[in-house]
Amino acid sequence: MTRPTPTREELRDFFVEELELADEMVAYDSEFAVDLGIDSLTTMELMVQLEKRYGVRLAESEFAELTSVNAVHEFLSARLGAA
Amino acid sequence: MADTRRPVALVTGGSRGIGRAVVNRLAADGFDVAFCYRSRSDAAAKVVAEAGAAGATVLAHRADVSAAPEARAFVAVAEARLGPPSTLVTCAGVVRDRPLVRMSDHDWDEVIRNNLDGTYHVCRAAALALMRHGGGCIITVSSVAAAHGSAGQSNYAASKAGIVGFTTSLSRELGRFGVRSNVVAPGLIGTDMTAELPAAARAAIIDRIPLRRPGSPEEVADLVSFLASDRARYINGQVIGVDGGLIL
Repeated sequence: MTRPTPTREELRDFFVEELELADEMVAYDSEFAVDLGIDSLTTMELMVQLEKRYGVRLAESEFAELTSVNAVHEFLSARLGAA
Repeated sequence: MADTRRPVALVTGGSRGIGRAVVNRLAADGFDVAFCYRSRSDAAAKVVAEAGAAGATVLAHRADVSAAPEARAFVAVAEARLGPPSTLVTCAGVVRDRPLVRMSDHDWDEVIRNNLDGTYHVCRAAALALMRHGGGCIITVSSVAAAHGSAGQSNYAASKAGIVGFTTSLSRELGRFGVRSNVVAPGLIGTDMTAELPAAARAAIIDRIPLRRPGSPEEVADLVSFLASDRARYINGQVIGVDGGLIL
């Protein structure tokens, strides 16, 4: 069972919760690696979770491109239709 | 409705030797199996018939895993035909035994490309599918020569030691996705590969095996079967010998 397109807020909440970060640390344009210090494997793990949650399949190259909440939101909106 | 599909295993080098025994064993364990082979279509067809007799769907695909595109094609065809894999066993390997001073660059390259690059190419091609599956395992086949070295096999030992470092690294990368990665390290096993050994060299090795005999491919496959099963669910990043206690 997949979910409808998430809002940016919902996606930001997902990352805050999964990464166990303080709410104010994660901005929509925070870069996972540069600003939040998230390693590439953790990012990958979260992307695989998002694939399952929203029933989408990322191409290998897309994993590297989704580097912020904004980028993930744009990607999912393009795939699933705007939230 | 319960998911009644059989789990899918990929096996490289499945037409002969240890790979063949692994295909047969995993098919008997309840897997559908896709295996690749490099050259022996006749041997591959026999394995399809043998393993298929256990009720499994068995797919043979010709591929030289030392070439990345062929390794990728093998994984893609297998996934398209059988579904996403949960298990990968890399058995494909070659020997070009020579003392170092007589070894050609070609001998060295052939062994590294087939054994080490080949393992990398197939794992690389299948990793994302295994991560998405969220469970399952990678089992690579190394050798006792990896840890102890073997005169006349510096190329082979180096490739097999590389497989150990590679696989233990995967155990750290993929563990968080529920994917276990382990290495099987056989000793002297009765296969076409070891049949090429001179009789005296073979006898000398058997003298150093406390069990006083070579192992069989099926005995290696038994270990692979265990590692691929849920009974091994907490075993990750290990190198497990199956060598009769061989003392090098």
